[in-house]
Amino acid sequence: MQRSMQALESASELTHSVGDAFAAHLRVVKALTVREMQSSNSSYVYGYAWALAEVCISVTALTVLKVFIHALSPPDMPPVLFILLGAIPWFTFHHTASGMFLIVSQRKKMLLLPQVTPIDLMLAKAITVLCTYGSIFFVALIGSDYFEHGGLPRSMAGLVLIYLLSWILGIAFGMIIMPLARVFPPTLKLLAVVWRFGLIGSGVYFTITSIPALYWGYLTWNPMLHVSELMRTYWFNSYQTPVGKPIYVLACTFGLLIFGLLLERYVRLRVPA
Amino acid sequence: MDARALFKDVDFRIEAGARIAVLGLPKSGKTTLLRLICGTDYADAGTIDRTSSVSWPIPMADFLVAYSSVAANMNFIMRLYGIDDDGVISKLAELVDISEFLNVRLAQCPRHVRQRLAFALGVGLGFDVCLFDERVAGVDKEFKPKAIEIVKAITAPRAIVVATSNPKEVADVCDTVFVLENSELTQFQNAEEGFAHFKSLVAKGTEEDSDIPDAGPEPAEEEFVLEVGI
Repeated sequence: MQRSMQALESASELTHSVGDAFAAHLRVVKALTVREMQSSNSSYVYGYAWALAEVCISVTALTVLKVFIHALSPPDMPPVLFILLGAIPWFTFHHTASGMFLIVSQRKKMLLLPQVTPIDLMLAKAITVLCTYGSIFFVALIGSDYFEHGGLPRSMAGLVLIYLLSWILGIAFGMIIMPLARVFPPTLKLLAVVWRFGLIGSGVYFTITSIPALYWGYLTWNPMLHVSELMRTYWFNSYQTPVGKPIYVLACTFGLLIFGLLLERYVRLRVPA
Repeated sequence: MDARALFKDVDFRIEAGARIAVLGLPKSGKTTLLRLICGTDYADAGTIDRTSSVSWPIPMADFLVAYSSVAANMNFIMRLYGIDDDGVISKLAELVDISEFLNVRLAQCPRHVRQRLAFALGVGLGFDVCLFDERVAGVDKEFKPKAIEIVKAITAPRAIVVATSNPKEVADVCDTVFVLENSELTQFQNAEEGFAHFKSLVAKGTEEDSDIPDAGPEPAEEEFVLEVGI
């Protein structure tokens, strides 16, 4: 009985200390996220508003291009909505990943504070990107659906889930790239090529059905293609993706996340900065 | 490449109210020791136990953002350390006479404001152990006497550790002296003895060439025990 009581007390103390550590970690990430938003574009007059404007300009440019070209989208999908459902998850993924592996070198001085670790900086950047792109996504979807009469989405829960997975996939990718870049600096140069092909091959501008089925195998390994396909499936009743699989996106996301966390820790402990 | 141990057989405890001076020649590892104590750097071997809150090496202030206001910078540190009290910012600003600059961008403030801000954030947040790098009061000359009085008053119940190569910085403030020499930390029970020993070290260093010792074979894992606690 006494041993059980002691074990319970130890477990309670451990839970408290883990809980306290988790609360402290959350507090640090929150402070860094607010700091990131405040200092984003802080040299300009309207500060963070420029971060939002930047996203709007990028998406508008793509949309205008798409509307004038009027190609590659099925006739029953309004062009602006079509582009938004592909572009914003891609931008979220891309900017989360690239932001994460750049933030540690950009904010190295923050690491001088004992409370702050590289993972905190990376998470703060990821949350900032999600807030920026997520808010634009939400407003833009409502606006374009209203003006284009795209109808209500087939599955709001599916849309939100897949969008969040694209964000987490960006976190995972960033976690992998950062230690690789530390060990092999030209990684960042090679990454520019990866981003180019990634944008083209992730279904931002097209659905998989506009590509001959013979070539689907060359594209369907890319989880972001599944994201674009699923986003359109969950919005448009008229479209059912032949290749998009939520389970594949989930497996890639969490598999890469675990790998990225392990790799980041291994390189941080073994490779001098 | 063989590694040389930066610290060997370092074993000490920082008690409440301790006034510790760590004297060492430039590039002897003083700042690294402070960074190990506060947790910014990690030791390759040994243990460091922290049972109290520890500041960063004051007056380090590279984390301040030039394009944010003084108040926004202070807010950031408050959030980081979970300090909810809204009055703390105005109190700290009054302490170091920078209240009029609270809503001014740091980049537009005079240099002394940044120095005083860094000082106030370091000593005013109630850390149990305050670490000072090179200077106890790294502020403008006009404010320095008051800054030293603030350090003595605020840190009275707490511990301070000052790592410096200038004994004059710590003569009035510290009563325990360690000398960092050849990777070893030697404690002197009598502060005057410690200062005298360090002065002889400095004199020896100016007479001889300061050659970097040859890297020897990688040392076996040393027991590095540093207890930072109250």
